[in-house]
Amino acid sequence: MDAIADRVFADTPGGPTNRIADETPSLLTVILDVNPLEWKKLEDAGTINLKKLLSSLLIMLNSHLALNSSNQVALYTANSFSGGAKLIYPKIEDDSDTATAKKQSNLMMSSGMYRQFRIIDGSILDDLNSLLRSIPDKLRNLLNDGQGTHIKGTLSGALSMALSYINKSQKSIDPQQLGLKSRILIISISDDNTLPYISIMNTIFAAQKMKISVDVCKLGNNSTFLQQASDATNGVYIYIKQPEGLIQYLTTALFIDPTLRPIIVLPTNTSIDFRASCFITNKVIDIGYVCSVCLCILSVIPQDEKCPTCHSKFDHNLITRLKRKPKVLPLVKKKRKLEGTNGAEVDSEVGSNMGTPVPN
Amino acid sequence: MATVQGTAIYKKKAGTLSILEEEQPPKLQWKCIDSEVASPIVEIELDKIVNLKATTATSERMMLVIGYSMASSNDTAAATATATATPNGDVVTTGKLTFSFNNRITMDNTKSVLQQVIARKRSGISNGSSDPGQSLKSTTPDQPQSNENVENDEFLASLLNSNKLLKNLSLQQRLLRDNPALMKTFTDAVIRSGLEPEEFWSTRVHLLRSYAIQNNQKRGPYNVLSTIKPVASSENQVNVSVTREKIHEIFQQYPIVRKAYDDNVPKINEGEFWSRFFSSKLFRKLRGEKVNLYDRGDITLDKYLYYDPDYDGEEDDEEIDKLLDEKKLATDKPSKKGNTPDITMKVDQNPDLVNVMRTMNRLSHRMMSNIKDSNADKDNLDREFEEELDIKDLETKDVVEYNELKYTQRSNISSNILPSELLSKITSQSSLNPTSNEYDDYMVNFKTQLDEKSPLQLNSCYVDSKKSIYETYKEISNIVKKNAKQSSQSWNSKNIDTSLEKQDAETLNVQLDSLRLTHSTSIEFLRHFWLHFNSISTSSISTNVNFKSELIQLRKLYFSITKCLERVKASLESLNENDKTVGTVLMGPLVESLTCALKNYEASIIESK
Repeated sequence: MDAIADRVFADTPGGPTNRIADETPSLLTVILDVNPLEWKKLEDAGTINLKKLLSSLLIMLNSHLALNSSNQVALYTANSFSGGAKLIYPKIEDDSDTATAKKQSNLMMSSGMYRQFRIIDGSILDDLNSLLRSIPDKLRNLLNDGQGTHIKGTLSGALSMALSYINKSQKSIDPQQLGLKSRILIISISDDNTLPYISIMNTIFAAQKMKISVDVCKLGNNSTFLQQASDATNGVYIYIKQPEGLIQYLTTALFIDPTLRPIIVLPTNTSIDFRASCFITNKVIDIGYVCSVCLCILSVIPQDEKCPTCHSKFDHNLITRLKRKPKVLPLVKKKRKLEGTNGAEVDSEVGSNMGTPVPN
Repeated sequence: MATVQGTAIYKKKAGTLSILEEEQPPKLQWKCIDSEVASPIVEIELDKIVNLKATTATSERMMLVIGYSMASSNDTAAATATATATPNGDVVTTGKLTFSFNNRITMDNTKSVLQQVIARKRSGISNGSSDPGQSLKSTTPDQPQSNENVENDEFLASLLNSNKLLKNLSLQQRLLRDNPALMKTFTDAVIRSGLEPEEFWSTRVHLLRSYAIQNNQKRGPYNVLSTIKPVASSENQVNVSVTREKIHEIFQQYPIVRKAYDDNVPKINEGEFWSRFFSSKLFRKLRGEKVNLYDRGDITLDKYLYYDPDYDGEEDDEEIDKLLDEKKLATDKPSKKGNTPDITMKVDQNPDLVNVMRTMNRLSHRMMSNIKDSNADKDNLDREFEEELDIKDLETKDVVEYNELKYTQRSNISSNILPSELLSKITSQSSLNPTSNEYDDYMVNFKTQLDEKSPLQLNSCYVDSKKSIYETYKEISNIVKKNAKQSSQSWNSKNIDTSLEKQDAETLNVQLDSLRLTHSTSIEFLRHFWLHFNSISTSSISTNVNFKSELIQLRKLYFSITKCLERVKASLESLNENDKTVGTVLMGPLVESLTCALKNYEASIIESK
């Protein structure tokens, strides 16, 4: 029966090529942002909580797996506070299947689920649960955690990990994984200030070079850098206006297979903010200074007159000129001119004001 | 030697009619063939011929009637002449000679030569009277040539000088005339809104410069003669129009013509010289056309055909080797004629063709030598040759040096992702002060939300949210529709804000023009405002001579921008309700930037004491 069907399909023109396109397996890598402070904001606003998002996400992963038996998924978390970027699924195999199967049944309601989905979903939930539990209760503890006084922005870390995971699997000996088409989906809730500009840009360029699309599902505030990421990699950036319908976003707009990208009109938000962020203040800026050596972007002139990134010394005279603020004539000067009827006097006064060096 | 000669019957006597053009003055002569008959020689100067009548080509009789008029009383041929005294006393003799031919070809030849003579005379008169400057110019044709290149360089340098460009009013006017869009902005900003013209141009110096260069480009050498095309006019006249520049070029490219001009022009007049030249064989030869032996040319100028074609207006200083190279001569056996010694190096080449080729070669050669930096080529060639001789493997390799930069990525250390008030709360926290903050409160819930007691239900995400799922579906398909529309259009198509629907834009079209005008004017003012504002901030009274005037200028611009803002508001007011919302969307960014400029100015006003 199969043999007959095969021949029939092979004989139709275009049949084989269609089949190749259809049957190319792909890898879906998801990066989930679990920044507790941002989640608090979202929950306070009553839009969505992590649990709801997770159920939508699991459905998405399941449907991706259901499309093709060789399809694969991977899940990373990014937490700006503790733990940083972590690989959640696939696990590095040391537990046996049965062990995970035992554990996961508790977290999932539907036990009558397709077993393969259940194993994966359960494993994801278990790991997430243990990860969440490992976050310190108190922010103070976190700050004094011995990790230093600062907190890392880790979405870019997760992105680079995902890219290297894809790279590794694409180059593996396993024929199933060799040249696997891949895409990355970022579910982001944090603001741009948690994103280190340079690292994000570097990952964008890496993804661009590897021809991997970066899709962005954005909750919370719009993100300039992630817009740029999806724009540069032919991905979809979509701002979630209705978190209630998240499942619809995930399974349509953000569900476009890499092989379809060249053909399909992407449902992406087209107005992109191309601004960059200041290297010192981390704020997105309209107009700023650029270091002529390393192209570092500055919104303020550094006190030590050195580039904060490459330590090149700036010309002192130039800096003082830049620092000088313009001084202009007051608007009511006209009146005085009429009173004095002496233009020269006015001019000289202006001159004396201007002559003194302006303290910054 | 006569140009045309043939038998003709005059007063029933056979004789020879000849036109002697090379004689001074050129004349037409008839001699009786029978020398015994004492019939007088009929002679008439060609200059005196005023009209010509001939029987038609179809008629059997072949007669040519030549009408003449001469101011002299000396009348050798005036058989039927009638003398009339003009009021001023000169005796003007008019008359006609009638010749009959027995050969149509002879008659036609005579006729056409005489026609040419008459036409030349007429055009010569009109030429001389209408363009007296031409002869003036042409007598000193090669004077400006020598320093042309120098002048050109200086001229270009002056073009690049912005100050001169800003002062060149006629250039600005011409540019405005050529560029309607710019004209519109100019009228709006300068004429109506009182922006200083100099201000206006100062931001557009590049336009002026490119326009000036575009209009003053030096024309390279080209084959002038090929551009001259004789045009036949209605009166059986051949008209050739030559400008002074062309004459100049001709002299430069064809020294032989200059020589001919120098030799002849005092004798014959300027206009005549050129009309003779354009009908001569010389002209045809120089143009590279094939010259037929039987073509009629011009007797005075065609003798230059046989001049040394390489004559270039200067005496040859070339050194000729006084020794003969025996070896070379041994291979040169002209008697054998293996390869005809011409440039084609082919046997049995058509000599006419070779001649044309030679002429062309000479011409290109001369043109090339007129181009200024022919030396540079030579240098290049030398260098190329030298490089070829280098042995590259043996040379020491250049070591690429890098400048080490110490790079610290400070933005990764982003402690500022924590709001400052939260941070202060945390730092005040201690075991004695257990006030919890938002984070701590939330974490208790956050950590345990994946609880075994309330397991995750996958259907929860769609069971009760049918409506929002549908809304989402609509939203996504709208985005796709919009993107599809955009991708089908070109990239640079207008990307009006999504809130602006297409129909709105159409109804707005009429008013759009007025908005557009306001917009472009405002942008013009804004541009100048920022230019001055920034210039003031980076210069001071000591570094900038125009500092004071710039300050005053800036204040003027401030007021102009306030007016711009008013204008924008007024034009928005004039729209009706529906359009107003759309117009506000369109003008929003402009209003923003106008107010931004005003704010910046106000912020930096000097506090008066």
